[in-house]
Amino acid sequence: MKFKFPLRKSIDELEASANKALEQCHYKEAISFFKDLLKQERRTQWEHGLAEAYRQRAGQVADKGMWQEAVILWENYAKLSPQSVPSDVYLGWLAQAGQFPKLAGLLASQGPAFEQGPLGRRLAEAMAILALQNEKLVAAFPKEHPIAKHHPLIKQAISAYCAGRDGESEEALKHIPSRSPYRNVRTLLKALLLMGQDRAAGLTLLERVEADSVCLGFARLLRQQGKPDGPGFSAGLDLPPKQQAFIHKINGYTKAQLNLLRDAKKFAKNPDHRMVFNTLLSNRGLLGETACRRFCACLLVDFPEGMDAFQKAFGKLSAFERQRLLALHEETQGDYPQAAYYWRVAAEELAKRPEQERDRLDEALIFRRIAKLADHDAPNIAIAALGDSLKLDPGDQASYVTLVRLNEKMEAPKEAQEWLENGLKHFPKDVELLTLAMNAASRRKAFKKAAGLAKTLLEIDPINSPARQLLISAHIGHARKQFRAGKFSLVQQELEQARSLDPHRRNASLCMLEGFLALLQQGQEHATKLLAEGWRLAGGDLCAQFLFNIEALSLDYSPSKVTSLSPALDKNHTANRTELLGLVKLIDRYNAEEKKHLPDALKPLKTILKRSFKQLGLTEDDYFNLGQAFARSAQFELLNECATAASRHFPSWPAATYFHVFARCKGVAKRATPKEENSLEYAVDRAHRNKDHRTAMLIENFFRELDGDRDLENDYYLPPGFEDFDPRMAPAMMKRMDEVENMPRAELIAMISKALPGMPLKNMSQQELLEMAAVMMLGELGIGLEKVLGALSPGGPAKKPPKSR
Amino acid sequence: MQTPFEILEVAEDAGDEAIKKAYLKKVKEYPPEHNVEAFQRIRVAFEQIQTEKQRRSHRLFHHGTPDFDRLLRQALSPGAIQRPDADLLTGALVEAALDDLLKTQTPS
Repeated sequence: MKFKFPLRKSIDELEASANKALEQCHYKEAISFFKDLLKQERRTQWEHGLAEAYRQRAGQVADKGMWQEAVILWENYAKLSPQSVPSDVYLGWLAQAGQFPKLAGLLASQGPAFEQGPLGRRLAEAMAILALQNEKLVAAFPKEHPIAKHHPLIKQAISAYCAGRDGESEEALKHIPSRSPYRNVRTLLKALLLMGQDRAAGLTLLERVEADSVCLGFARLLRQQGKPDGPGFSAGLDLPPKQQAFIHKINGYTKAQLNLLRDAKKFAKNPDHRMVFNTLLSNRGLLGETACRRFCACLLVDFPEGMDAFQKAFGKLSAFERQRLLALHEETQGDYPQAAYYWRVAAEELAKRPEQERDRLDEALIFRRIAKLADHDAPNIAIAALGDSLKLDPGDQASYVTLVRLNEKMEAPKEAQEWLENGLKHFPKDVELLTLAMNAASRRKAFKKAAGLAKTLLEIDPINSPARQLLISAHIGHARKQFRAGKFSLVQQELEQARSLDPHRRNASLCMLEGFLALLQQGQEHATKLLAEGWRLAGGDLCAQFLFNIEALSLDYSPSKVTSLSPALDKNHTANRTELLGLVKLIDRYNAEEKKHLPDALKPLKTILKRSFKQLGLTEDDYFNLGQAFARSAQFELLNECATAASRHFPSWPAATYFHVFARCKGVAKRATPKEENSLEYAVDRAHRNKDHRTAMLIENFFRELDGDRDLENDYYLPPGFEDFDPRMAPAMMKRMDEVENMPRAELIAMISKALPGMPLKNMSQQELLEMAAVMMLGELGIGLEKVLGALSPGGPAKKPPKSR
Repeated sequence: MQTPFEILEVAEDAGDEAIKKAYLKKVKEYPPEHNVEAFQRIRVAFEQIQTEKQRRSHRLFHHGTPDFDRLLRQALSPGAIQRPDADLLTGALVEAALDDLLKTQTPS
């Protein structure tokens, strides 16, 4: 076996390694490399390198508390840099290492001039203070040195102060001159003496401690922690032990205060509700009964387990208060169904009170809280809770608005209208409710009612833009009718009324209608001007052409015959995103106003639109809005084109699948082929997975329509597995399923635990609870458990037909 | 954390008028152009307890965040100074002086 000797590095390599180690803060290695280099040859730059490595390494080891090693390394550095002066940190290391004779010798060797410089003064002061604890250090100074000379005086002053002999202490301090290294200690002692009579004055005196003094930190600490209004508790947590003990003395803490501090320190860094709660309770004498009660009550929300201890200490909590705390606790945990349950019980507790003590407003507020918690996930619970709240306090505008919104969301327009009318009875001049009523009337095509509401709204709020727009549209609508009937003076009146509502000339349709009227009354030139103005206001050429077409058609003009009056649309035009989205708005508007003319108005734009759908830069949202507009207005050819372009940009996009099927079926669900149904089932799953709720809802509505058609044919739909059951059972089963799904969590747990005591129900997910409850409830209908379980889809209990797909 | 009543310096049973008055006084004291943060705090506090309904809601549904530092500061307000013994005083002084001396990490 051959033995390999390590290759020796050349001088150049060694130098490079040394410099690299120094640069990378590997000082130990740098020292070794520079030493090796210096063994070869004495070069000044290597000596400097070694000195620097020693100096930096000294700092490194001092950081680890290795004072002795730091001192040696610093001294090695000092040997290589004879011009260096002792630094204050070196002095500190010497003191920490207990090398007092060296410390004194060092300062004495520097001469009086050094002690008058900034560093010298600081070192002399530090040495003087260290000498208070180390008599050996005093002995190392010549007798005439100020440290040796003034040391007995300051010791006497300290002893006298600590023994309460203030006069003696003050007398001793008088003999310490203002240039003594003990001058700042003298100021500190004077301040401490003064604090005994006047704390604030003493603290002010501490400001006289010199800025470069080693006593400055101590003076600051005293000023901060000795404040008459008490120290910031957390600020004093990290103090070293002696300074902390000193502060406790200066603040005159009692044993009880010190115990509280000790306990408080434990939880300051690691807060634990139980520990905090117990500390507060056990120190309530010191903290004050009222303050302690208040803080403990706050804590109960996070720590309801403390309720019994709280009651023992401060007296019984009412049943309502207990439920309130539990509800707030569940809210902090994010368990809203459970919170709603406790709120309901709390409201029941309030309702139990005698009539004269009953607080209906509090009850109503609690029901509104339940509604707020359920608003997103369980709108039907929110609706019921708000209904309950209004029985107790009918004068809450926000509740009516929310009820309208929630009922509209739940597709219950009748109920929404009822709440709207109820709300308007209580708040007839409320802008928000009037606006909702106006929009609802428009949707119902009750245009007269809508216009009336818009007028009322404008009386209350003259700058209400939706009301203004609605009135303008109403006048324009009438104008169109009169135009078709040839009653041009009435057209003029309607248009003038509309114009008075749009004095800044922002409405493109109005300008165009004025243009068409001018064609008959004032001639082509004026008409062309007005039509051009309308074109400009329409929001792009595509929208302008559409507007022109539809307004012409609504007046029984053929667009092709009047096309010379309008600016021409370039056949190669590609509509940008803004134009396309503008068109979406226009289609939706005219779908309500002039639906029958939509196909003819859009027909000349098809080529441009098809080209525009293909452009990059359209988002899923844009395609969705376009698709919805075409679906709503039954523009199936354009819908299909739009879906095709969207699926090229966004493959497997569920909405594109839906739009394709919808377009092919021309919006009639029962025309869907089994293959299409299948692809929609995949699409709805994808939509749910992608959290694309709106697409999922559209597809589920489509299925609902499809199933509705089948119900008419097949009596009632039952989930898979139930085919051999009497279909008359289905409605009862669906009703039960609804009850289960809408039941609050707490009620679910209570119901199941009656049948299955001892089950760890609280740890179960909502889905698991629902499954168990479904099994129990369906069992009551006489359906065997096996069948019921078999019919439960993997995601939960058997659902209503559309969801069970 | 201060309650809205504490921020506006009104009693917990104060009525609409008293609260509005206190709010306007506070806004004069801390106008938004001079102290945006303080004004925001005042504004939020006012909006929380402006009406009877809001005050009730606050009482029912709001639970304050306990400010232990404040509570302890009250409980630990200084009493009469106790004289330390000489060893403790010099020990604390030396400890602080050494801290001060060593606070520069790298010797120069």
